[in-house]
Amino acid sequence: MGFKDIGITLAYSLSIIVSILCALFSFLNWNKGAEDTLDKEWHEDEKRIEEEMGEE
Amino acid sequence: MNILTLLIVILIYIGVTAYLGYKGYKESKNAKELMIGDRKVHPYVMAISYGATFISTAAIIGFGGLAARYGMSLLWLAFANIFVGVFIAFVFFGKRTRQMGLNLRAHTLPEFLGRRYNSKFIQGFSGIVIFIFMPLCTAAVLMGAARTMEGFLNINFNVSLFFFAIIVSMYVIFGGMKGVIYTDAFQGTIMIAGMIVLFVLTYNMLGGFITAHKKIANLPNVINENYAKLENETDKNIFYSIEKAFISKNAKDKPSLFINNTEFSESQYNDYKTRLEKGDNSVLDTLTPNQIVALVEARKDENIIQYKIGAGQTNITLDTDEYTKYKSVMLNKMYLSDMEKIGFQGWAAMPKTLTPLWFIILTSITLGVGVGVLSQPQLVIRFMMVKNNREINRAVGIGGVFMFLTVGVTYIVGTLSNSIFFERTSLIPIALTGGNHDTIIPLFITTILPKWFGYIFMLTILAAAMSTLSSQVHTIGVSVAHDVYETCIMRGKKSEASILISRVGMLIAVTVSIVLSYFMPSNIIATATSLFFGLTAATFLPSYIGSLYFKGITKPAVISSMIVGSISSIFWIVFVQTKEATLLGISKALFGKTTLASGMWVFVDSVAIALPLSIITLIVVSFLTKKIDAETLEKMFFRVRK
Repeated sequence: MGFKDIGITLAYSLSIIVSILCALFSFLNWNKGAEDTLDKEWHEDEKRIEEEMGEE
Repeated sequence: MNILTLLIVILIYIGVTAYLGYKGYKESKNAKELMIGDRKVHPYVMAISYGATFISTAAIIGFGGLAARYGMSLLWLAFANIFVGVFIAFVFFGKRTRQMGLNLRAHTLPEFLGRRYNSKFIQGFSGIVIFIFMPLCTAAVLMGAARTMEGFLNINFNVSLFFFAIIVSMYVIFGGMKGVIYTDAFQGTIMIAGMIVLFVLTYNMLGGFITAHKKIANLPNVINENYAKLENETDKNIFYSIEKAFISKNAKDKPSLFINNTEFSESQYNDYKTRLEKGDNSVLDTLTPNQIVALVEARKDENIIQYKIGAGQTNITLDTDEYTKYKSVMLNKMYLSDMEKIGFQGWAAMPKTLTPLWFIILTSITLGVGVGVLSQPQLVIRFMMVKNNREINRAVGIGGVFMFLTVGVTYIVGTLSNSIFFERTSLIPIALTGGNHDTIIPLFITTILPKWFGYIFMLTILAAAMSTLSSQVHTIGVSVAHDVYETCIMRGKKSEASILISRVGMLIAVTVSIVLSYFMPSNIIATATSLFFGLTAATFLPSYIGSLYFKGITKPAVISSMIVGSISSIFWIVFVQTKEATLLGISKALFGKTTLASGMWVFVDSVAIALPLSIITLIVVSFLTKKIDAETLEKMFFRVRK
């Protein structure tokens, strides 16, 4: 990379590698986790909270 | 730069921002939506909003300037920002925060913590910490934006600051969280475009990737060689007299400038020259006839300018070229030597281990900001805005790439600006700006890069500042209204005027930030940011992680940990950490000393002390106090991924 210092070479490379890993993670998990994790009671509660907080 | 073109571009930008703020206003039907939106935010919007909120003018102007001063070791912060600030934050914290936040019906970080441990005190205390200390950060962002507008548009700092605060407060107060995230996504997209262009232009100017890196790695050698060469070529007495004149802090020892035997100080001459070049002829009223003639002559031919150094025993006269040569060689060497004294080993090298600079880079900057991001209230709340974990999975990639393109590019460009300035002006930027690193990036953009890019960059900076500021103002406002007023003062009694109270809270936040901006010192942008990040890390992070991962953490433990974390952090900042303690001046006023500690301790950031103390308190008190019952925990951890 043109640097003599291993600490800098590592910081530069890791910044790029970890960005690519983030993109790869998204690609591999693109459609995972779509299920609704909330129960019926939650949705009713949420509706109640919205009403309590008042319509403008 | 064509001011008219720039104004048109800015007006279009403000128009789009205003439209998005209005869209947020129309879609915010109640106080819940004003606080957190409708929990159906698109992953691109969520990721960009998260990144744009995180990355402010402090990151681009302040930390970019720090990179220009101390070099690429700041890339460890970029790595921490991406790995910890995006990957760890989204994957290991985001999903759990979203589910648990929904289980707890929480709308803010203080409410999340308060409900997790069934404590109004925790919620109120967290809200107060945010209300008191976040304006420091907000004021720094405001100052950064106002300085940029002052530099680019030539608008008075105070006017810029006020104008900027008004625009942001309008769309935050009325648009609420939806207004904030829509504008964030728009502003974040502008930031991506601006930073990509900046990255390409910078490497292109230095002849490509490897060449640029070789040049920056070799720059300290070039500076030292130039100095040694000039020292050998010049009579020692003369050399050191000239050097003394450049580095002396006494104005009487500074070199004097003469044009046809008419004397000016160098700064006086530069001031006249700049004002005349801008067409400000009023300057002529303050000059003597001889000085006016001299200035006119100098504008025709700069070779007639002479510099005189020293009086009495040593009286040296230099022409413009000689003066420029001595000045650049000596100032570069002076700044390099000053930095070497604290551990600097080059712009492409890590600082020497256990030196003051090593502590600053690794504790204050990388640890404070890099880890502190995990418990930033304005960022944590973004996880609660999406519909399901799929949206978080999708946002990770967008957030990671965004972070590299913003912080990574800023630190790289900041560092490489040394080679570019050196090639063009013979001076490194920190010497060129007289030691003020906050002005390096704006100077780089206005003097080195093409004019057309100035317009793009101006928008990039405005976007970075606005996106961060809006989220911070929103968070402070909601904290003061919802967490402090409604929950603690009104004891949880819901008010019909809930939406109005939140808006008043945001208005208070803007007002406090504007007032602070007028009183804070000018070189404080990066310091204020790392200070706030460190404080919130010590106060919130252990309790926040504990709430997500450990069922054995107790209410008294969280209260103790938050109090110990915040008090130890504030104590360290006010009485120990030299730079911050000097800026605040409280230690000096109370004890007559800028810091109560000595040795390496004064360079260790508060987060390196306060965070471990906060963690230890959390663990020890949890072992000694009563656990939360299993049934309540079951509800809180319902469908929270193991």
